[in-house]
Amino acid sequence: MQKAHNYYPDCPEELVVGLARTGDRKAFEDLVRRRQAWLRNLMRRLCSDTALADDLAQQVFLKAWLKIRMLKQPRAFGAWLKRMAVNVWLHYLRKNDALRKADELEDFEKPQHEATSLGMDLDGALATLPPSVRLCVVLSYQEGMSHGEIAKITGFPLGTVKSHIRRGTLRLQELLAAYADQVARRNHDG
Amino acid sequence: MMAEQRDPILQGLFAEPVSEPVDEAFVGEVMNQTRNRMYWILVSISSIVVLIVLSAWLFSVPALKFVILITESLATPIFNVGDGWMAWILLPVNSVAGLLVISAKVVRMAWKRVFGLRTLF
Repeated sequence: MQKAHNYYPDCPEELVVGLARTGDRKAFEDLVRRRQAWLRNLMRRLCSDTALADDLAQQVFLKAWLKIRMLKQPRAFGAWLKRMAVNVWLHYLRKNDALRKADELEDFEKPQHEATSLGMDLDGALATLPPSVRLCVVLSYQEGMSHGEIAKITGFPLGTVKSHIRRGTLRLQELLAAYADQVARRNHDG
Repeated sequence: MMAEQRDPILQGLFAEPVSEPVDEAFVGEVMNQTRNRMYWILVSISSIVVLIVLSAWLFSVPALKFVILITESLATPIFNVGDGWMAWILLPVNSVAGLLVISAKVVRMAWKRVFGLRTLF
């Protein structure tokens, strides 16, 4: 006879979250399996260091496991996890005093653009942004969050969020100009 | 909203699919950590319970004596007004405890008057 947890991968996430809230470790394991790629990718974009990103992602899941009973709406699990990820990242930055350098844009050698290394170029360009700017840009572009939502989740003033996104966008446009040319050429040829 | 428009090229770049298969080692590591944390919490709670029980066993009699002593001292009348109904009426103020409470109130009021809203206690 099949055990109940064998069916978890086929269940809607809300249901699995509900089971995890009751202390079902198998249900939580299924949630980790579902969300790990997204969370690790988000953390990698934020910190540009694969090993550190995985460590932080583990911390986020651990916090989630400890606090999941407090989650009132199972359908809000994704947003709740994202908020926790942002908090873990901000805590890491504060602990390492990285926010102090928030206004400094690092020197960056413009990448040599090849079609195969576009992802790498984006990560490289993101790595040159100050952490708080990078956080706002990633939440805006990758997570599709509005400025207001970013201000709420990060605790930054709305004006700061807007300015960070504007500065970050300009910097990325400058660094990834070759990619833009490539897209324009592709569109022209097509 | 115009102010929140995103650069379409950057948007496209962020949307590039990231190939990320389920990493069972990562999942296993997370679940190991949750298990370790659970054991750690259990051990902490058990230690605290043991400590409380031991303390209660060791210190219950001296603690009880101390509490009785304090209670008796606080209930000691300041003025001798006999054992009649007057003594019962004045009991809340005619005791060390009453004196302490009134003194604390007076100090607090004076503090507020001198230093404004800054809390003393």
